[in-house]
Amino acid sequence: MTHGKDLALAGLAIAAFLLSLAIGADGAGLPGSADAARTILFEVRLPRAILGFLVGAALGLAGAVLQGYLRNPLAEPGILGISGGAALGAVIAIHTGIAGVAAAALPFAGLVGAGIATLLLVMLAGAGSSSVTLILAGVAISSLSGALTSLALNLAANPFAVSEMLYWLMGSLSDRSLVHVWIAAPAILLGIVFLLSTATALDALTLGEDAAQNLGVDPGRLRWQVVGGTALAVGAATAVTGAISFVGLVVPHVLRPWLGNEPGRLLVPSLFGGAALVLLADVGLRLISPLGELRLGVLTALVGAPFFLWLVLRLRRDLAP
Amino acid sequence: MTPGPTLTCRALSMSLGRRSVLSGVDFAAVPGEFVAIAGPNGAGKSTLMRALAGLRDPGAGNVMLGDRELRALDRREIGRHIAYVPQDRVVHWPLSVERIVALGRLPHRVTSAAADSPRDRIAIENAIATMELAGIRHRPVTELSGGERARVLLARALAQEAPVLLADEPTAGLDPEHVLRLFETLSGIAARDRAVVVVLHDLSMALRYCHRVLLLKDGATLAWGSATDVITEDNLSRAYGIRAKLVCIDGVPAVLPMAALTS
Repeated sequence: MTHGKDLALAGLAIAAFLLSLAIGADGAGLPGSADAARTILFEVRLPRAILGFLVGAALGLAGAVLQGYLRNPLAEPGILGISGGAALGAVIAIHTGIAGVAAAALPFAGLVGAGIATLLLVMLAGAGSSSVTLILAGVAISSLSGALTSLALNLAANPFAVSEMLYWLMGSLSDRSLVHVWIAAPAILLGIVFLLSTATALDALTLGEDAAQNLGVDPGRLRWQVVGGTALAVGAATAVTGAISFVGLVVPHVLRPWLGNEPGRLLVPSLFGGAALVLLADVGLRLISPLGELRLGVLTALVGAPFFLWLVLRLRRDLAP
Repeated sequence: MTPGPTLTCRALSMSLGRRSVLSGVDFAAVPGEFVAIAGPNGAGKSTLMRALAGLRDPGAGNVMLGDRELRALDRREIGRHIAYVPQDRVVHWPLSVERIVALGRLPHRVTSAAADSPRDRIAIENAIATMELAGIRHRPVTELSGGERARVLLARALAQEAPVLLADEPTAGLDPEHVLRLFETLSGIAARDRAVVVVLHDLSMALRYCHRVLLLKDGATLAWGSATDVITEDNLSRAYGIRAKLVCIDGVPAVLPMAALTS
């Protein structure tokens, strides 16, 4: 039955989590000494695996929710401009040197950026307006934060700062500590709760906004759940890991042929699918690029972009008369 | 089922932006009655339907479900009492016919994650049977013809098992066979003590099947009463600016539009 598929995906995500604990940048297994082994397991691999799970879950779930809410299969978590805001906050922290003050400073600046972007989004798009204004507001905020990010790069004091910002923007799970987990986990988990609560409303929206209201959906409340949930989950995820692209776009699409097209049905599977994808990509990254020169966001984009092209081609074929 | 509450509106006025769309409309949908709302394009028919469905708050006047004001009710409660089928037949994802019909059960769900209960299954099966969808129940709605899709969306509303059914132009774009079948079905639903309200342009069908008709023009009531009282040659010329003839062929009443009046 369908719940078996949920369990299978949860199992896959847990297996990927354990794999992430077992395989480090220096290959599988742990060093002989018990102290070193404990340090590596709990201070290096565990934070990385937890973050991989949470960030992947947030991106996969937010992608599925936004595709359902906007009724657009090409929507992805970045479409609202919140991750752009988080990235800008982090880049400004590096630019001004605030990031060097404490380990928490950089992700915290990312959270502030995500928060400001969300406020702008709510002000621009309003509470009860259509999804078109929400998308337009998101595009405007993305462009603005993108432009300001470029400005920060442009005005960087030295090449090292530029490369630090660029590396951060590419998205990575390496060198993350439990501090990052403590900063991101509460927001991501709360965001996930909000996003999961949209399931039946998204199903009803299949029939358009008027019919959905007749089926009991409160459009204002739903908008808050979607925007608030995305802001918390995706904002916090981007604040600790940078931009990990295509996960939120690709995961619901991979699952749709297998689980059907009901938008609400895809939420839990997309959460586990996103977690599994990010964790497996990160493990793969450690195997092919143990020194960390290849960044996670680059790998997901490299795999995701061709998939996106295939998606467009398939869509064109489906829409052809 | 026991007769549900009467859906009424009194002195209803609505405006979209600064433009007044409805002014001082009285209307009632009584259980057991099949009622039509007619009038020229832009007369405010769809706006009235949306107000009756509780999708828009009235600008002035009120909409009452039984003795309670509609705007005071929770949306899910409205969904259990009033089923509304909008004019546009959008379906955004290629769900199967059965899953679309099952969406009609959402206002009845205790928790959002609950699967179909036995009560839900019965309602879904009844709706599928009433709309004769058994043969296509597993097909994706996006692959169906316009007529099939219209029936699926009505079946969704039937699965709500609401005492009031509102359908905005349910027969638009359907071939004559499906129009006839749909009116027979809707009559049958009304006969089972439900109130059925449709917006329509086919005045012959209104005359033949509907108990009462509300004729709107420029957002105001031009006539409201029994179908034979409202659909008269005089009212049609005032509402639509046409010269029309009422005829009766083999016991079936029909409206023949003869010519557009030029003046």
